[in-house]
Amino acid sequence: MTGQIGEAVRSTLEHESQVGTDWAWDESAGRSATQVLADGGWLGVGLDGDLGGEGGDLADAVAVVDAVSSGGWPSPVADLVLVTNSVRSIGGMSAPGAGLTIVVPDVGVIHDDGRIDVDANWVPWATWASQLIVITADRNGDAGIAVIDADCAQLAPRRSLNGAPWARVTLTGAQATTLTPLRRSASEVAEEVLIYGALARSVQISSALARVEELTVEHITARTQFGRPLSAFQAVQQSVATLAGAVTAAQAAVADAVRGVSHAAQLRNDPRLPTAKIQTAKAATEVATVAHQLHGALGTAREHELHRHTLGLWTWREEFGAEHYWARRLATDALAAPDLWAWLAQDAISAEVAGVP
Amino acid sequence: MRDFVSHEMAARGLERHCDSWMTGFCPEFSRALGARGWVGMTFPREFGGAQVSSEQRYVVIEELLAAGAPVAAHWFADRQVGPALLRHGTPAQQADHLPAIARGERYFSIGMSEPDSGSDLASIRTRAEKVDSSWRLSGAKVWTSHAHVAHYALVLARTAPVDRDNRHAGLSQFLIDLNSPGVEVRPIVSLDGGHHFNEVTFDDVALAEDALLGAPGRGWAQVMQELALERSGPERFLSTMPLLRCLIERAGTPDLVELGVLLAQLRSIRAMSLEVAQALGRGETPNVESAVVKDLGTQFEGRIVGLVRASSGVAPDLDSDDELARLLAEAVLRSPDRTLRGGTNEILRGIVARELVMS
Repeated sequence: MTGQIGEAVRSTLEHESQVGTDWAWDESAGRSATQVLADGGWLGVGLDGDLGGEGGDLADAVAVVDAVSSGGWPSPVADLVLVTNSVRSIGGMSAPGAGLTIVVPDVGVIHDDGRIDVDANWVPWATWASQLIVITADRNGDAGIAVIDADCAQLAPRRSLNGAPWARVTLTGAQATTLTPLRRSASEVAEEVLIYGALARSVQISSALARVEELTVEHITARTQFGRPLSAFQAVQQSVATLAGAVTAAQAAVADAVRGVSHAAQLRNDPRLPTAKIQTAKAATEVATVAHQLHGALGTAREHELHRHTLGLWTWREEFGAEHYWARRLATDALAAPDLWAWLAQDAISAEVAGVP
Repeated sequence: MRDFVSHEMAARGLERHCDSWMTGFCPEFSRALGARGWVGMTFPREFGGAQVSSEQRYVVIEELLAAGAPVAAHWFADRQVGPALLRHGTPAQQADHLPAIARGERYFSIGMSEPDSGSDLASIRTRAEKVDSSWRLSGAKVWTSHAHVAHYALVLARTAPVDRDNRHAGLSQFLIDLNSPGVEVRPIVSLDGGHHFNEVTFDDVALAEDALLGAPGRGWAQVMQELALERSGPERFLSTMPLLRCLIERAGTPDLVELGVLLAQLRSIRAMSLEVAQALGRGETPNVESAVVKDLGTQFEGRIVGLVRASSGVAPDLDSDDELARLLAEAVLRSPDRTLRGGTNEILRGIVARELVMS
């Protein structure tokens, strides 16, 4: 199933060239590509039919993100499918409006009169949004999900290393078009948004890593120096094997995090999520370094595909918590457990066989 | 399981050690495990096994390694000789060895490397010749763990002349009683003063016809299956777990970032290793995946040593009453072994690279 989704998404995007002048990303072509995916229903994969989605589970949503990301161009699809849809599903919200809806990662304050303030330093894809979703905290710290017309927001647009737009977003006394109260604390919901984002970036990195590995293997096989293909040199073999090891470990961590999970909210307090983000972020660094080294100067040119992916790797490893952030949290959790090994071994496989003879 | 291990170790006055699957040779403990059904777990019931899945065995051996329990005596028999006998053994060989292995009573050494053949295993010169209905074996094996205390060795030998076009042809495996006339075992003392390695010489040793394991000439493929088992198991990333546990029990570490990164690495190496265990359980030979597990796992073990050195303020000392100092010393002194045994990490990366470029 997920394999077919990936193939279908790839073929949908096949004719959507996003190459602009000087081989840079053409942002308007990027908008068209996103629209094509929306028209095809791909942005609703993983979201219940009741909420206007296409159905499917988390693995299906991950397959869409993986396929879109493998092209290497900046895209809001990971944020839409794994963050916005996840928030819509915990709030039981059908389509908040026409156009794209983007979640603000920071918690906003809702006053007694219903007006909302937020000052968010970093909101990915805010400049493309028609609506913003803000997690609000009332005076008791209880959460609400507010949908706010993006025109009400003050944006300070910026770009990340890979050219993807983001903005500092300020809302002052904004009125929500809809407000869905949740009987949960706002900080808990905000933590879930962070988890959705971290999962999205882990999947994007994992996808880019696979493509970088392919490009590198192609290059060392095709490129001849000193009368031999690069792959014949043992130094090159050692490097490419190191790259492959890092890719495999990162992919294993992402697969492990998604396995058996129907909604990303289940990953709260689950060590598999920090593990996925730490492993992908670390692999991003290692793999980008080795891939560029093996590609030589060719890989640094915009004409070559490699940079699209390495720019993504360097961008995504930082977003929704770099490896340092998640490592600190994972270590803190482990140290709080009565026994390190018991904490490490407490996952599905061990539980499954707890009744060994 | 966890309670049994800690109780059994305390009752016998056993301390936890790093690399306990290499150095913790304790027949009593092996027999106690065997009595509980924790050796040869995947063997069929008729051979004294518990007939459980490879995942179940996996969880049990993880517990033993994490506890630093002395499991070296039966380790090779349980890990690779048993599975090799199940795949390739005759009914008589299986009946002879498997129940004794499962009881934790029969120990094996593995004879692969030779004085002139380290990483280049196909270049071995130990020869077995068919004479009438028996075999005569001559040659030498080296780095043979526990040959001085084990009962049998599983030995790779050349049974046909070298074929230049196929160096892997003409090799066969033999089950050899280490008490046979003509077998000589000489200790190789390691840099930490310990003795578990040996050089074993075979001087025209007479072997019965049924000493041959599997088909003649199929030794290379059989050994590759063993190496997949050998490279991918939890001993490739849990050898220094007793050291990490001891650090955490004591004062923890101020370096939360490094600890968190190591824990994430451990979790994903474990996920990969489990996948390999499952593939092996299905009868596959995932050589590349095994190579990756061993490469990453042994590097990870080295980083634990680094974390303890950087954050404990304890100096390594083999004779210390301070457990952390002793475990650190063990881990430091065995650090060169980890990235050598079972195929050097460079050879493993070569395997990975060849697969990438050729596939």
